[in-house]
Amino acid sequence: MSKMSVTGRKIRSSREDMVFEILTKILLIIACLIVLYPLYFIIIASISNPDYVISGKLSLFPVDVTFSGYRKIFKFKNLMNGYKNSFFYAIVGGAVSAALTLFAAYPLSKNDFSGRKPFTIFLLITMFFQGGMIPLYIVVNKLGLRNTPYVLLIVNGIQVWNLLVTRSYFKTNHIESLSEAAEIDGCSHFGYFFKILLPISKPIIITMVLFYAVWQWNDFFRAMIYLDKPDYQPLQIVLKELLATAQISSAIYDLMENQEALTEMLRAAEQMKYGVIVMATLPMMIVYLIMQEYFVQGITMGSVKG
Amino acid sequence: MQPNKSVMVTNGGSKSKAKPTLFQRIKHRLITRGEWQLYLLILPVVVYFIIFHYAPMYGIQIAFRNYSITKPILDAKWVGLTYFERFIKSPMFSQLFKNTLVLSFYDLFVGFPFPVIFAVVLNQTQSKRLVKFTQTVTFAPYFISMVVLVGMLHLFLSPTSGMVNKLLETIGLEPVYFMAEAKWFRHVYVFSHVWQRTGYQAIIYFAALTSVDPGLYEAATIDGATRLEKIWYIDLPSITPTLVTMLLLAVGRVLNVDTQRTLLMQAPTNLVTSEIFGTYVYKVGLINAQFSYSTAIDLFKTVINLTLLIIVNQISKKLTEESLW
Repeated sequence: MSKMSVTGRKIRSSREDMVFEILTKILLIIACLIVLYPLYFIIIASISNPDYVISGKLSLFPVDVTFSGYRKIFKFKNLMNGYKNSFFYAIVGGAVSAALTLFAAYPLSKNDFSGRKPFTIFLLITMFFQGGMIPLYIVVNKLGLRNTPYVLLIVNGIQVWNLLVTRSYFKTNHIESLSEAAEIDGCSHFGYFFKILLPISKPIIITMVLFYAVWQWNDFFRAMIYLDKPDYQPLQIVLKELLATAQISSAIYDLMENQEALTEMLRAAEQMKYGVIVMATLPMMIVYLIMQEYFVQGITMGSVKG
Repeated sequence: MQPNKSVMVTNGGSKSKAKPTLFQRIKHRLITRGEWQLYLLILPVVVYFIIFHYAPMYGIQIAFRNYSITKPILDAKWVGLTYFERFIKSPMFSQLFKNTLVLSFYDLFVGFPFPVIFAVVLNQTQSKRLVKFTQTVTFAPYFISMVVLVGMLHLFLSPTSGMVNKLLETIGLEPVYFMAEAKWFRHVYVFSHVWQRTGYQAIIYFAALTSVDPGLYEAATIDGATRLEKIWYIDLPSITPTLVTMLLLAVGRVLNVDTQRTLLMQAPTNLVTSEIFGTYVYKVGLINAQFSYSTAIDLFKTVINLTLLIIVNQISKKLTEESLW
């Protein structure tokens, strides 16, 4: 090979690299904009004069800034109650579900545990075959759990997928020499799990609490099935009603006689909608931004079989 | 394993004299080796699964009985396959089947390439700061609840005030009622899903790509491979196992379209395309209180799903040696 063609190839490849680099950068920036713009729009719409929002004049910057939407939201009792309930479900549910998941995942991660295989199969079966919506409803009903503050903590409270993720974490991070040393020292399984393994497993503990908490915060369907009274309803139920009520009212708008009063109501409702979206999503976004690495780690761990 | 062995040795010693009885073996495992503690740790989860997963499985028999909530299950009259027959003969059968399958496969085939392509592009970008930023941004929609997401769709796609229709107006098109018209339901469902999940799903593929040995790329560069060739011959093969597993799981869930999402996106006017197994089971069972009938429909769905999963897994085992179990 002559020197010429090698340098020629180098030039070609570096020019190709440059074009490629610019192309990929543009693609990523477009992806970011597609995700960010709707979110940004919600935020500026929540603090802009609703007239501009409704007439479609809002695009890049907030117009005629007002916080009246938020003021109305804070006075809305059901919403505040839903907020309180959702925090309860996310925090208590996150902690309890994560604790039980960690407890069960440890024995399953131990190769010499006599119950490992039967219990793994016992749990895996439920991933592919379920009793279904109605039989579960009957069980929950028979146990008198409907319309109690515990029902959302309990129904689907332990997820097999999370158990598998935790198990594979313990398997890969299980330190053989520590386990041996512990056993030689006469340390029990409890001792090893609680005093040695858990303190070095902080990432998976945090990941599990976060997974369960975010899921509790965002889930809507279970609450719709099992809670009919507002006392224990989570935020998502209140939100659904709020976001849907205004939709219906805009449909009957033309049929109403007193249009002026209704227009005023719709204006307020429109602005409140953007505000409640911000308020319902903000807590999870903050948690996400602070704890991003744990979420990423939990997801990539889930993709590893074992 | 080491401490095990020492136990086995003492055990083996006694074995030569007299074989320990089953009771002795169990006692040895549970008490001497302290396995009772492991059983105790897993006990709450096992009890939980018996009550909230296996008891409902036992309850499936109401699909074959004329059950009413006031009486115990076993008192309900046995009716065999009556409810299944009724479902298969009803006009809803073909509609649910079609809607569920079309929505599911549309979602699968449109939704699948996006995260793969996205992960490859991320991996090819040299600027690590841009990559990190993009990942942070695109993962964020995953944390938006379904209620909020559908609320956002209603706002953005509103025929009177939504920005999408305003945009259509400026280029001289008629406004479209995306959230109410039956023909738009599937598109809105699939593309809002792409918006919400691409960043999340790309994480898995990106992780597989970053674990590729950099030596491979260097060798390819020396051999004069172009960037596209590197993607084709290095990147894609390295994510194939992940891809197959994800695809298998997706196909195994093909009739389990997200009930919550669909129910929230339903409008009385789009039911022709938006009524799927999950939403119909919910309405028949919990709103009309036809427990036995809706359980039969649900069971029918589960069995078909399971059959599909097993078939697809078997095919995959033959073709790619990737299997779920």
